[in-house]
Amino acid sequence: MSEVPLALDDRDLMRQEEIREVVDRAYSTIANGAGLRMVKRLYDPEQIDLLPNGAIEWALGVGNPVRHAGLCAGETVLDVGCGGGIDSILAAALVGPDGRVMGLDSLDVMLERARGHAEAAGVGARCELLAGTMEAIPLPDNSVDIAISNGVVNLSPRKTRVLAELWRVLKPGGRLCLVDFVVDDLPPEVLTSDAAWAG
Amino acid sequence: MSERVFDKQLKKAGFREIEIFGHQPFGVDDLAPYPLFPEPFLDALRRLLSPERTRNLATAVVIRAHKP
Repeated sequence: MSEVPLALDDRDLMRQEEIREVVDRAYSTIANGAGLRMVKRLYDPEQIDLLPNGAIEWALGVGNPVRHAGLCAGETVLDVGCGGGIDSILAAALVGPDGRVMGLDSLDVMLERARGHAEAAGVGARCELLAGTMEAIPLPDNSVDIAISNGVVNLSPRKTRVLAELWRVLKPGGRLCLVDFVVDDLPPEVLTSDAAWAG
Repeated sequence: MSERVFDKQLKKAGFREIEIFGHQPFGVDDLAPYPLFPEPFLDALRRLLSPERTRNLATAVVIRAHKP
């Protein structure tokens, strides 16, 4: 009789850690973001005026969640995967001095950048940068009015878990406003590339 | 994740009033400014995909939802 492994829970059957390492390595080693060309495509001129050059240089999003989020003064915002801080800065400008933006990122180097860019934009006092993953958001239940994200949820190997975490941290009546890639079938040669997982 | 699966997963997580809109196609050339995609990878995409698919590799969408 063949033996059945007992420690199934310990095995990373979906290679989640491997995917996470690929993504972290990709974002840790790049020297810049997509820059002004993409920022001009994705953001409104009035928004661009609020951004320091560093935040523009480090733009890595795929859309403009703040434009569609309906942010109000005094709200508490979570920016999931804040990267260089571009959406956190724009959100902080809209929630005003009574509001709060928490930028979450798993990479210390991105948090450092976001902190510097928020200070340069004059909204550092209302931006809190949090180290952590979107699969285990380091915030209490029912603590956020709105969660935004820009091209980040697709990077997680555990997307169902991410959505459950977002639901947990949102207050009852809270809102979600994500911009992200959706994609249909791709050839295996593309799906097995590290770059396909990192982008 | 496809749009249909994203919608389904949001509902499963408990979200309601889900809206998915603002579809913006991203082709291989649109990915080029992002340093995450090395040139050999982009070249492979151009080689492997049909011209139509090369122009519309993925679609960026806005997703809004509420927690009841």
